[in-house]
Amino acid sequence: MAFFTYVERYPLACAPVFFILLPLLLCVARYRSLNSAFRLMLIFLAIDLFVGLIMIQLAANHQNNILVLNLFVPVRYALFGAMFIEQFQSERYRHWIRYSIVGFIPFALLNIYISNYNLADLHYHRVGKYAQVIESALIILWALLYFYETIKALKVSNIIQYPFFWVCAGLLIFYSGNIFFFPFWHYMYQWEKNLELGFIERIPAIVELISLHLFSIGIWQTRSHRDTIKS
Amino acid sequence: MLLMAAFVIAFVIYYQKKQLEQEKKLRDVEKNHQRMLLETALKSEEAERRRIAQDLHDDIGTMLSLTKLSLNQLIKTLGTAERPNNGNAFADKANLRTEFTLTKAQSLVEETIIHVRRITRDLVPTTLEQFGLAAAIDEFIVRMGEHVGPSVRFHCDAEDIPRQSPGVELALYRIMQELVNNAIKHANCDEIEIDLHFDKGKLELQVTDNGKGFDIENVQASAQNGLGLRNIESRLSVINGAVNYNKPGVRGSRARVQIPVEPERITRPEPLYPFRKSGVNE
Repeated sequence: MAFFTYVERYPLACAPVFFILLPLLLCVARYRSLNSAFRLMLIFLAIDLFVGLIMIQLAANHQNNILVLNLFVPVRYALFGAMFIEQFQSERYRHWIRYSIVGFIPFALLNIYISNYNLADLHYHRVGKYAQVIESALIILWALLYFYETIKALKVSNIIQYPFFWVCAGLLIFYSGNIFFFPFWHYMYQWEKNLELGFIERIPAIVELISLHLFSIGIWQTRSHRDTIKS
Repeated sequence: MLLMAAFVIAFVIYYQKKQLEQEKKLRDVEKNHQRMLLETALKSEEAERRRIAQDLHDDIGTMLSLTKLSLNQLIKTLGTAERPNNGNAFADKANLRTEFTLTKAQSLVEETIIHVRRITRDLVPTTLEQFGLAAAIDEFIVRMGEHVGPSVRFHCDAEDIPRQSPGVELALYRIMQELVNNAIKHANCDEIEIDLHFDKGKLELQVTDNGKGFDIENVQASAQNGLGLRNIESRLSVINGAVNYNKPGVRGSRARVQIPVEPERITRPEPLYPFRKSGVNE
């Protein structure tokens, strides 16, 4: 009951969680036409939905849910990184992403430890200071490199019909919309000193909704497009 | 930052589109270049055929005609100079043998003249330029009928067929020749049907045989056997035509050539076969 009350009280914050269902169901419907990158996207969406629902449930029950978010960050980066590894043609870029995943996971875990003096105290658990910023910078870099590679190699005949272009566009919008916002999460979302910033606080949800729309377009395009190099 | 991201996405879409347009233009230029090369090669081939035909007609044809005249003269001279041999059987026999040899030589020369004329006409179809495709195909069939082979039928309403440029008519004529020759050589058929008609703004040529048929993919894959078909495709690419092959029934094969029709030619073309002399071998 508390779950629905929370959803009713914070519809915009909860909307992206439920909106995940659209790309997720599209992924399921298009499962046969999904390549490995989009199958990773399916896994991400499923985990994202699960994490989102748990976070709403915890928030509805007045429990700190930030640990779930902190743990989700390295998983999310690993999944997105693996998607880029699948899509990049250049072996060099693939190596860079592999190394970044290997480096980022311990960094994100360490960041949780650094940002929280007492890990056992879940009640006052806070968002990691740097992990999401680094994650954003890396994903923006991979997205831009992917665009560069796509343009340079002319590997798709019509980029608008190319599914991964939309995924990249979604990622770029999501992370560039949040990159200057993430550093403040550590200070904003505290159990007893919650900072109210008004409309600015709604930006991540709006940006996430836009990116989920873009993901959905990409997944939709997989039907007419086999995601091959020459389409 | 969000605006920058949106700008980057818009830029990627715009730039990729621009690059693809450039790539397309480049491909078009390459395609046109290939087409021009092909056209030049075909024109050179026709020019060479014309030159050979002209040499055959003017030089060899003239010499053969003169030889025939000389032989005629010699036979006449022998006839007038013939006198009684007073019962010399040996001289009579020698005279008869000489006359026989001369007559034989004369008939051989006549036969050679006919062959040279046929080869010349095969090399450059003069009827095509003067009377059009339908007449040229008609003549081709008549000439084919002189030899033992499959029966060839031709359906065409010549009045409905607008005259095309010499290049287009020649290309269609050569394609028809190639298809008929293919049917005779490979199809093991006893009937060939040629159909020329005008349909929905396109000139359509169909060559159908009742032979053993063929698998187009296998023939095209074969380096040697597909040469004729590749020639057809090359000629058609120059005149924006298309060809497709199918099976008309249980047996046989049908080649269907389509070309877009050009506006009807009003002026009389330059002669395709500008002989310096005419009617030499009559």
